[in-house]
Formats: sequence, C-alpha cells, structure tokens
Amino acid sequence: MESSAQRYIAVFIITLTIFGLAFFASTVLGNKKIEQITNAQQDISLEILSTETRYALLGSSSCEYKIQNENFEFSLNQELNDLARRVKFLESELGGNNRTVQQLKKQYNLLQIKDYLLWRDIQAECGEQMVSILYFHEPNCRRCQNQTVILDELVKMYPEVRIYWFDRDLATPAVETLVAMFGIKKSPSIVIEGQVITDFMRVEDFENYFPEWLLEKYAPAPAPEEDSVSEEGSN
Amino acid sequence: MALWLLILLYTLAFFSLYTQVFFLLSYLENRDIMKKQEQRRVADEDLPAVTMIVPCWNEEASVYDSIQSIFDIDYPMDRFHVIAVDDGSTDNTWQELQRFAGDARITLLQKENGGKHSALNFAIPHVTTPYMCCIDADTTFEPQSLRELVTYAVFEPEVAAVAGTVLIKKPSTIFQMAQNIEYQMFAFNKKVLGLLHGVLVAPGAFSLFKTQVVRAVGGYRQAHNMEDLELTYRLQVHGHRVEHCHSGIAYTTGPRTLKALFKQRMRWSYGFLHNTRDYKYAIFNKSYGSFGVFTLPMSLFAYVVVVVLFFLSWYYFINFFVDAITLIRLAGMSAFAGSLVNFDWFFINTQAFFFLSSLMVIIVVATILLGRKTSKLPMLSHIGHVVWFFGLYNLLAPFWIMSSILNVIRSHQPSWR
Repeated sequence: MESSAQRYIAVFIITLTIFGLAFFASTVLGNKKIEQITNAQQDISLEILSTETRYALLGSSSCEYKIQNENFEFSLNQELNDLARRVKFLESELGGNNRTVQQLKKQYNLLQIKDYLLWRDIQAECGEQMVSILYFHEPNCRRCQNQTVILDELVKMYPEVRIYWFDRDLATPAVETLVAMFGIKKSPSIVIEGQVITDFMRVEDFENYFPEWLLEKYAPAPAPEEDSVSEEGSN
Repeated sequence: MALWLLILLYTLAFFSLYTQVFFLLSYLENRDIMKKQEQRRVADEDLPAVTMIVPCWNEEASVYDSIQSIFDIDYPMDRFHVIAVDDGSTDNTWQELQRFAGDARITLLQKENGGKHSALNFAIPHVTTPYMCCIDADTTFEPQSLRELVTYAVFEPEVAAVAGTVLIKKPSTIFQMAQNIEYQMFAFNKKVLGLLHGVLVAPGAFSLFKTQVVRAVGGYRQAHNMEDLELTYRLQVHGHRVEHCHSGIAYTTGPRTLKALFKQRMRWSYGFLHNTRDYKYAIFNKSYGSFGVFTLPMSLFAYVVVVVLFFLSWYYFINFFVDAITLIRLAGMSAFAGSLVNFDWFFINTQAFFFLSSLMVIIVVATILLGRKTSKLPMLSHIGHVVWFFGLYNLLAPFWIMSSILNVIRSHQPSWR
C-alpha cells in the first residue's frame, strides 16, 4: 500500500506540472499575440499621425504629393485589414469579455475612425480615388456572421477597399457618435458611398457600388471556372 | 464560454491526464516484472491439465472448424480436454458436434437454452482438471497462447484467474478496423491493470481459471448479461488475484456492422454500469487494492469523460461544418480551401485546453503503440486505422454509453443477440 500511495501522489504531481506548463505556455504565447497587436496598433497610429501632420503642414497643396505615396497609403490599408483579422482571432481565443481584448478593440476602433476621417478629407480635397465601407456589427448575430464572411472575402479580392469594422457592442463614445451620425439602427449595417444599407450584401452587390477603375484593376483573370478552384486553394 | 463549463472541462482534462500518466508511470515502474514474466518457461512434463469449455449456440456453420482449431493449440494432448456445451441450439449445432462422438479428448453436453453463463456452469461439474479455460465458440488462438496463460498460473499459485489478450480477427469493415485499434490500445491498459493486480475483466473470449476457486465462489451468476465481468469482480472482492497475460493472444470476431457494434456496446455499457453498481462498496475501498482504488473509479470516470467528450466533439464538429458550409455558400470553395491553410503562428490556437487535448491525443496514440509492443505486433502496420478509431469512437461511442445510462436508470435490459 505504501508504494502505491506514493505512486498516486507522484502521478498527481506530474499531472499538475503538465497542467502548469500548458497554462504557462498558453499565457506566454497569448501575451506575445497581444504584444504583436499592440505593436501593430502603435505603428499604424504613428503612420496616421504622420500622414495627418503632413497633410496639415501642406494644406491644400498636399494633393500634389499624394501620388508619390500611393504605396504607403496602400500598405497602411493592408496593415489595418491585417490588424482586423488578428483582433478578431484573439477575441475568439480569449473571449469577448476579456479586458485586454476589449481595450485592444477600443484602440483599434479609434484608429479606424481616425483613418476614415483622414482619408475622407484627403478624398474630398484632392479627389482621391478610393472606396471605403463602414461595417457595423454585433456579436451573436447570425446575419452579421454571414456578412462578415462576405467582407473577409471582399478584402481579399479588393485589397484596396478600406473596410472599417465597428462592433456596436463596444459602445465607445466615438463609435456611438458614428452610429448616431449615420443613423444606424440595426446590425448588420453597411455604409458605402454615403448610403446606409441594412440588406444582406453579397460580393456582387458591393461590386455594383464600386467604381470602374477598381473593378478593372482587380478583375479576375479570364480563367475557366473549374480550374480556378484548385489554383486559388493556396491563397 | 461559461465559467462553470470551463471548470468542468479543465477538471475532466485533469483527471483524464491523471489516468493516462498513471498508466504510463505504472508501466515504466513494472517493466522489469513484465520482462521476467516473458522469460518464464514451464517444461512440457510440468504443465497441468486444462479443460477448454466451449459454449455453443446456433453455430452449425462454424462449430466443427472452431473445435478442430482448438486442437491445434500447442499443448500436451494427454493433459488437454475439451467440453463442448450445446446451449439449446435451434439449428444443427448438436448434429455437427456429434462428428466428434467417440473422440476421447472431448466431452459433448447438451442442455436447454439459458445463456452463455448457464452453459459454462453446466460444464463446470464435468471438469476434472485443476484448470479450466473459458472461451467463445468463435475464438481462435495463437498456438502458444494457452501455454502462456498456464505459465502465469504455475509460477504464481496464488493467482485464481489469468485473462488472455484478445484482439480482433481479420478486420475488414471500418468498424472492425476501429475495434482492432481499440483492442490493441486496451491490450496495454489491461496489462498495466494486471501488473497492479486490478484487472477489470477476465474476458469471456479467453480466460484461464483455477477450477477449485471458481467452484468455491459459486461459478457464474446471472449478471446483467455480462457474467465474465461479474465473476472477475467477485473473485477480486473475495481476495483472489487476477492476472493479465499479454503474451497469450486470441482473436475474436468483432461486430461487422455499426448496428451489431452498437448492440454489443449497449450490452457492455449496461452490464458494466449495473455490475459496478452492485459492487459499489468496492469503489475507492482500499481493502480491495488497485481494483477498488483505481480500476473501478477510473472505468466509471471514463464513462463521464466519453459523454462530455461527445458533446464537445459534436459541438466542434457541427460548428466547423456550419462554418464551412456558410463560407462555401457565400464565398466559394476557394475561400474555404484558403481558410484551411495558415502560415502565421498567430492564428494557431494557443489555449491551454488545446495544448492539453493535443497531449491527450498523443498519449492515446502512444498507448496504441505500446499495446502493439506488449502484444508483439508490428508497430506501424495499418496505423492509418487510428483515424477510424478516433472518428468513430469520439462521435459514436457516447450514443451507446448514454443509451445504456438511460437504460440503467429505467432498468431496461438489452438483449444478448
């Protein structure tokens, strides 16, 4: 009995150690992910600030400079889109009630609004060619989940389109203001070209709103339908 | 996820891991004993006499060949006897058995139908040898298997019963392939339980008993259609030792179809739950050694885990399926294919529960390999069948377990056949 009692205790300690290691590894890697997102947000916020500053400095003459910076503008949008994916994944992993996740989402929302305002001004001032979509959603809403799938796909098909994701559940003053500004009542709601749309939007429905230059730029290569499935599989 | 659910899942994960670590550690601790067991040899002239009891019920097609194959076992024939019991067959089993009439090596008995355990009990008074071996009519044997079991009994006279290792005979359907993997895995677990003197069941398909001990405890009893389990329990609570012989290998025919498998498992789960309830005083009872402290609680706990695992597996399975369908419907096949490929570590699940469940899967695969090792099977042959095992058992096993739990509650007894 003596040796078997020892065995039960030894197994308990080993199991506890494995459990500890699993939680430790999970925490360390989770923190790494949070750090990655925080860094990305800092980078983006710096880039927005720098664009804003440049824009303020140059005033109306800034329009002449924008052409040189097309790549920069494009990569910023990519970074924002990528950030959106990461924040969403982290939320699914740590849970929407996690404080860190909520803070990251709030920061991310503010960044998006700043980006949106900045480019709206540049667009108005310089006649910049760009398409932006504001998407208001809520967790636990089946139609939102479907709409999200479409928007995820849309980002991949048209990386130049600026999509801003707003979780209405966060209810930060900035998001509330935006909701009031556009008179959003339901989720999901989509604002495109200044119009509020509450119907479900497929990719084709979005394409109806897209300008000619955008459609041409990202028109799918005229490949036979059947082949495209296997080829695009590695995207 | 709700907090209570998280606590439940992590508690179950903890005890599942505990059980697996317990098996592995006990194996490592007792490897020397296993090696010594493998080296033991009994000379032909020292082998005791053994009676093989073969209960038969409606086996006209196979019974002649089955009994012929029993005589192929490598054992001195002057100390080897067979008793075939026709348990009230309604076909020509008895006529088939008559082909052995006049053969001095075999005794033929016939009785009213009463179930396998009644056929065994009917034969026990006719046994004249110190050891008896209970088998199924369709069991086939490795030639050395009986010798291996008897060796345990000879070297450890205090042992009352030796459980043989039962594997699946020539698996051909996916259900049999899954069972084959399952039996290989259990070969390891059962060996460890044997080393700890806490065997769960000396299987009805192939087990050796000391005749006098079985008689002393009163033979088989009607026990919720799982009489082999009940006898093993009874022997152990009476202080008798039951060993597991990993080198004595026999093969049984696993149910071919899902329906047949379901029926068999319903009977097992129902029999296990009912018999364990009958012996509940032994659970966590130190005076019954590992059998009371580990085997019974662990087996009951496994049932709980399987049920929870069921909800979890189906939850993930359905979620994945619904998401996949939504994605394909809304964004096309290529978007779905793309979602399966991922090169960024950020999108790998790093939840503790994911790590722990991955570890559990690794341990289960290791257990299957260790089971093959102890049974001296090729380590990697048909290892792909593991997929059937995980797939079928995760998604299906809980159905028969939950049904049998319901049956135990309602006391509805499933049939044998």
